[in-house]
Amino acid sequence: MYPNLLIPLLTALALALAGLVLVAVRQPVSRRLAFRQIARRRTEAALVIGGSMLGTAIVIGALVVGDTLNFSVRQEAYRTLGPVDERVVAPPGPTGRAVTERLGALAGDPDIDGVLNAQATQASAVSHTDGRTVAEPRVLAWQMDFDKAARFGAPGGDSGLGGPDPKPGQVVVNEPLARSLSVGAGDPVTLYLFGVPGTYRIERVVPEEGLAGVGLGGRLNRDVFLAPGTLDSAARAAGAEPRSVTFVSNRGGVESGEALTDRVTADIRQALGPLAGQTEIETPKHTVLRDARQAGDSLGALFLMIGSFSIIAGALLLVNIFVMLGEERKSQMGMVRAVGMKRSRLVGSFTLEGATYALLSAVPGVAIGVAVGWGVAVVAAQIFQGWSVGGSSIRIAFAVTPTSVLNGLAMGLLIAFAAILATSVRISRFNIIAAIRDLPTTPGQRPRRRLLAVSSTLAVLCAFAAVPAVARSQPDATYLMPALALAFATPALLRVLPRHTVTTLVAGAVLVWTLLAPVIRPRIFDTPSMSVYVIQGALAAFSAVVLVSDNQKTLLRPVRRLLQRPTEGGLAARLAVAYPLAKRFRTGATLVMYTLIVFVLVLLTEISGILRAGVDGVVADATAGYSLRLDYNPQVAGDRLVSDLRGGPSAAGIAAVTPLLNATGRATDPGLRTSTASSAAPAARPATTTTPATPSP
Amino acid sequence: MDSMNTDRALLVASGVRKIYRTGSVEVTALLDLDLLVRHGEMVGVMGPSGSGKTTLLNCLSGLDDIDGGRVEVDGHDLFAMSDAARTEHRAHTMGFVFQAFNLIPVFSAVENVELPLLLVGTRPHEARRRALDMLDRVDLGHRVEHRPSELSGGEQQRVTIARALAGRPAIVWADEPTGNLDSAMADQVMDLLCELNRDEGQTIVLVTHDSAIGARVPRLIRMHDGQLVDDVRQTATARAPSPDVPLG
Ligand SMILES: Nc1ncnc2c1ncn2[C@@H]1O[C@H](COP(=O)(O)OP(=O)(O)O)[C@@H](O)[C@H]1O
Ligand SMILES: [Mg+2]
Repeated sequence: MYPNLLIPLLTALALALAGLVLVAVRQPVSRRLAFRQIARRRTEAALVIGGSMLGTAIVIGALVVGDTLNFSVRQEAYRTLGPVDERVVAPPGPTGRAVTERLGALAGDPDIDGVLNAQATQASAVSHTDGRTVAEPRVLAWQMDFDKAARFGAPGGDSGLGGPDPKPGQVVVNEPLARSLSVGAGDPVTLYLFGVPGTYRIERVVPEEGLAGVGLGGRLNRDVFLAPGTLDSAARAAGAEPRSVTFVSNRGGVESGEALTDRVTADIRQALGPLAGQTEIETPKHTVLRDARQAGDSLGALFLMIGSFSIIAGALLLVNIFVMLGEERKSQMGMVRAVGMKRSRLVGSFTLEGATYALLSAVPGVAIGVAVGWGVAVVAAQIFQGWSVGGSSIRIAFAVTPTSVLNGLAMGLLIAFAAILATSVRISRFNIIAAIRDLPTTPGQRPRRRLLAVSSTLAVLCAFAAVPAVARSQPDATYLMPALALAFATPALLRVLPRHTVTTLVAGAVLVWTLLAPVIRPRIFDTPSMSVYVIQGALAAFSAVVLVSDNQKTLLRPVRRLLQRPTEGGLAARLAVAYPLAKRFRTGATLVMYTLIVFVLVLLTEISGILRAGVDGVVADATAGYSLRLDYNPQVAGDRLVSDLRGGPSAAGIAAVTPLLNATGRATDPGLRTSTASSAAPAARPATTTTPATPSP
Repeated sequence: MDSMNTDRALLVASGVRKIYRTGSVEVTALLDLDLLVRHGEMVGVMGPSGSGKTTLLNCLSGLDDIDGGRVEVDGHDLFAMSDAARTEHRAHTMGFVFQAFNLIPVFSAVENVELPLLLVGTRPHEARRRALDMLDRVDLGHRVEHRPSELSGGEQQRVTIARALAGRPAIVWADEPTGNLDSAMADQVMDLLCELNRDEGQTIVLVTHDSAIGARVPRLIRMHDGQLVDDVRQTATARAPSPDVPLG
């Protein structure tokens, strides 16, 4: 997924690695210190490797889910469409024959390796098996030359339909039709062609692949293939005409042919000349593949959103472990500084050490990520199975693209590097004496002037950027800009107010804004983007934890009595809170991790609640209050069905029956460049189905 | 260091003040302290616990910040420099021996000793050679590949001394170097320090609360409540107080 991210990510990773190599080469003492720690501190190494593995694994897992979905839909497209790249549908009658004739010229086109003419009509079918009558009102009846069909796009692979033509009185049906009629080879079936019934024997059943699964735009097609001339004579007898359909296969295989879609479509248009305005040129494979890509991307993005909280938590875990390492080595680090190691070298050493852990974690991280992606795909496959209608569900086929692996790897490593670098800078800033004697570090001095200038400028810039962002309800910036402005203002505030007040003020303001923003600007959630949830969650979690940790004394006041009891329990409680209270940074980081986890759980519950509530709404919208929909062919059943329902034995249980007619119409744009089929109801001349429905009592 | 240097001032501290702040409590650990140490001197610092001996060492070496005054070492004002420059200066001119030995546990003895040499850019071969020489000098030639956890306390402290001296620093700071050692080992370590001062003119400032050790140093200063209260020169045989004004 995200091929457009590949180059920037790899560039950033290459720069980071180059920087690390530079440090390793230019600072031999830092390098020795780093690598010695790695070699001699196995447990710590394992912990850090685990922490940075998490980030890589989650990113890759999310991307692999996208890959798998994308690949599955593509496979489905290749399987069901086979060599068919374009489909030209002409109206019945002389125009259709003229279109067929003009398209014959395409046979010599170097971009095309197959042109196949066919006639089709909507039909319905009935079978009598085991004394039961089964009807299928939506059948596509085809008439095509099996010989030519077998050779259609043959250089690129199986066309899906071949073998001898069915003899007169015999038909070939595809699997979906056989399934819905519960019939097999040798069984009789009644077809209503142009409203006239006729009985045929099923010669064979073919899988719905390639030409054997073609349709006129539906996702699942129940096809019956007739003997040559059958459709023509049925049409003549009924005074009607079948539709002309021409299939075109682009040069190349099932997959590679798609690339030529634009050129071939132009060629077809040219070949049709003035008739182009009355014909439909469809690019089913191209359309399905584009949809597949979009579906894969958006599902991958959803997993990435949920995953990004885990990534933040993973990065915090890394920070936590590193702070712990720093604390444990405090006195020796103090000594190293005392004997003359500069702070920057110490940062270099820590960063090298951490980056090495991150690199060591890369391979297992990728493996776990792929496994996670596979697991999600398996679950997703079960969900899709549950959604399937008439066996039309897509089959989930696991897939991993190198792009996704590289993207995930680069992203995971960069996140780990950033976390490690930031932590290294922080843990290298200690008072040498306090470190050597393992005393708690005193809070930092007042901010330096340059930092103050830079941060104040940024604060002003963010504040300015916040105004239009909030005014226009831009989702991410509405949250982020005011929060950043507040955070950048901290050094300036520290000049005039005590640290505790500033921290509480800034964290409180950010928290209040995070909670208030959706109330003031409700439209920030009118976006398909998921990043707003990530920003909201991260801001809320961080600011709340800072607020709590900065006011721990006040918060603990109500339980102080309890803690200070001179009993054994009181002592135990005091011991229990003493460490977390003293190690404020670590406790804070741990709390943020837990907060984020709780946040994700709540968010997921909320999303599933919204979806569930949505289902009822969608059902109500789609059914308009009716509980049953009966499809039937009006040419066969006439209006009798409606009166039968109204007066039949179940009439007492039926509140209303409403016949609904629909027919295929055609609309052209003023320039006659395209033509699109659309439904109209009720139509003047019902062509296919009438739909009565009964409202639920 | 030859006798030519002996009269040159190596360290000049004037009006040094250090205040520890813990919450709202303030402790003045050094109060307008003046001190001058010349090249080749071995100075003992004694005083009751909490009198500011350790603080003096930390502040005059530039390891800790001060709240007032000025410290010049080898002609450079320590607190006028950036942290990086001070670190570089420290690497070139100072060595440290602390009560807790503070060796790098993942490094072998020789690697610990060569660390300060490598930090000032000595070539690895040269650093290794000098580190081995120094370990020989402290009688640890047979323990060079051992890691700190594999050495006894006395051996560890001798490694620290080797580390402090390997870079031939102008001044060595030692804070209770024998505090964690039994008396036999303490004697060994003291012998070594005295020998280095006597034979090689190594300048040493040594903090101790042990009067037996205090008796062995040529110059002894006494502290009380963050101030110098006594400053005497003593010969090896008799303690002959000599009037010495530390600051000119
Ligand atoms: N990190 C510190 N924080 C607060 N007070 C300190 C700290 N270090 C030392 N002190 C105080 O400063 C005074 C001098 O301490 P120190 O120099 O360690 O004395 P000595 O080494 O002579 O025993 C003592 O009162 C001690 O409590
Ligand atoms: Mg002390």
